[in-house]
Amino acid sequence: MNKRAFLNLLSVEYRRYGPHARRSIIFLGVVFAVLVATENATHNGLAFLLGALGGSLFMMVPVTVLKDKTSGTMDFLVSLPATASALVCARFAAAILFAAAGAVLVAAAAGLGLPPLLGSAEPARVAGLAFLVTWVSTSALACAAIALLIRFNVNALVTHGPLIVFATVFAAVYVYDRLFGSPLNAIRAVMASERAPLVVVAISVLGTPGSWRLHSCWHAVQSRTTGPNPIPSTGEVVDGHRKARRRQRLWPSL
Amino acid sequence: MTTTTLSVRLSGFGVRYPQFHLEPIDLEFRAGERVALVGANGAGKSTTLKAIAGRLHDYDGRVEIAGREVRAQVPKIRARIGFLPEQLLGFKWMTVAEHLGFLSAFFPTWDDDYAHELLARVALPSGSKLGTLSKGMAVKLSFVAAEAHRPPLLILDEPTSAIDPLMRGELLGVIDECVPRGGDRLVLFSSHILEDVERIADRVIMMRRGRLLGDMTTRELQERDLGSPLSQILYDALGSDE
Repeated sequence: MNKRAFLNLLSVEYRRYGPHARRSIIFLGVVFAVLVATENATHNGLAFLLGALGGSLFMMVPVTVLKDKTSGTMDFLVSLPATASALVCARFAAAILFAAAGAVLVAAAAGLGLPPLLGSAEPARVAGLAFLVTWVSTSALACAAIALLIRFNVNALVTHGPLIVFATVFAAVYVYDRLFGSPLNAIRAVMASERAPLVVVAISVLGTPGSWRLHSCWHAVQSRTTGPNPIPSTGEVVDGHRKARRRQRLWPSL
Repeated sequence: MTTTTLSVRLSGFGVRYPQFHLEPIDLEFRAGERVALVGANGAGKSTTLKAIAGRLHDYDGRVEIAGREVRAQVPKIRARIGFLPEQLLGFKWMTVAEHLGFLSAFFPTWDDDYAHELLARVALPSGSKLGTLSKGMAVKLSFVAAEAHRPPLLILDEPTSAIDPLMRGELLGVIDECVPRGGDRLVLFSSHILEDVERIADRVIMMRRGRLLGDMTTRELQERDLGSPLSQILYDALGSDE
């Protein structure tokens, strides 16, 4: 496959990631700016945020695969004269581009006067673990959110899923901090122990089925709310429900 | 694959799905032919075309283009085939122009001027988003995307099945103009609209419920039943042992 075709794929992936990535980057930038303003910023805090940002953006890779499957664009992509490796490569490259751009922006928000992040080994390890923790926790929390959605049929969660996941992550961090002290200290303690590689591997192994579980839950919810394939996009689902509610108000007998 | 040696050969080609069986068939197509696969829904037309287009890998037997098994050449072979699927494939948020621009990079022989000429010919606005196109416009766009790189093998899967008669006539006219009879390209298309077959094809493959019923040129068909229109002959042939 030629370079132009790969760049076209990359550009499409970049445009598809755009809205989620912008929200994530702005949100984490604001969080760190607040930490700097309140003089709570540390190297490890910045590392944790950058790792979390990377983890949340990488969540978009499998989520995009799911979206492709449900919207029919998977058929389109695999029908192109392009190898599967090129498709996968473009998708991960887009996630990396956003994660890198986000890292620069968050670091800028944190203040340019900070010493280089990777100058010390410890923040890099914290960032790596934060990446994995975010990946796993967003999977788990999103599964929980989707379970609530199924139980109570709260369709608003479909559109505000990422926001709710972020809010839940930070609420969890806050609660942990109140109950047991800084989660960063806990992470540091884990990473300093001899069992650190085992923990990282365990999180990676658990994270993969967790992510796929999230996808199947999401698929189940969309099927439940919109019927069998073709499953419309999230916006279409919500529009459909708004229309149904409006119709119900106007003609309650229907 | 070159245009001068283009040939498509199916040897013992068949599929076995839980709810659909296509019995092994042997067929050969050559450059210059315009071949229609006709039959009711579930006959096996689309399955056959998808296998030739390199979009179906799970089958028995062999499907060869220019003497080489299609499965062994995927995805490279797809760059030399124009394929119009039953449903428009693409990103709904893209405009027509963006969609064609995206595709152009994947096909080495893509001709931008020709693509714009085709768009004008089918009167398709390049600024419309894919998600807003009507069924007829989506089919027209699929045709432009399939034809813009002048592929030696053009495959049209039910191009006219769900569009109104006016658009059907318009689209068939464009197909007729773009791929003249007896040229160096091969056109394979499926349809259950027999009038379309009469207008476009010079060879007809008749299929029913996963079986090959017949393979004849339109001239042979007409000579067999003088005086009747081709669509009537096909209707009689396809429905003869119902």
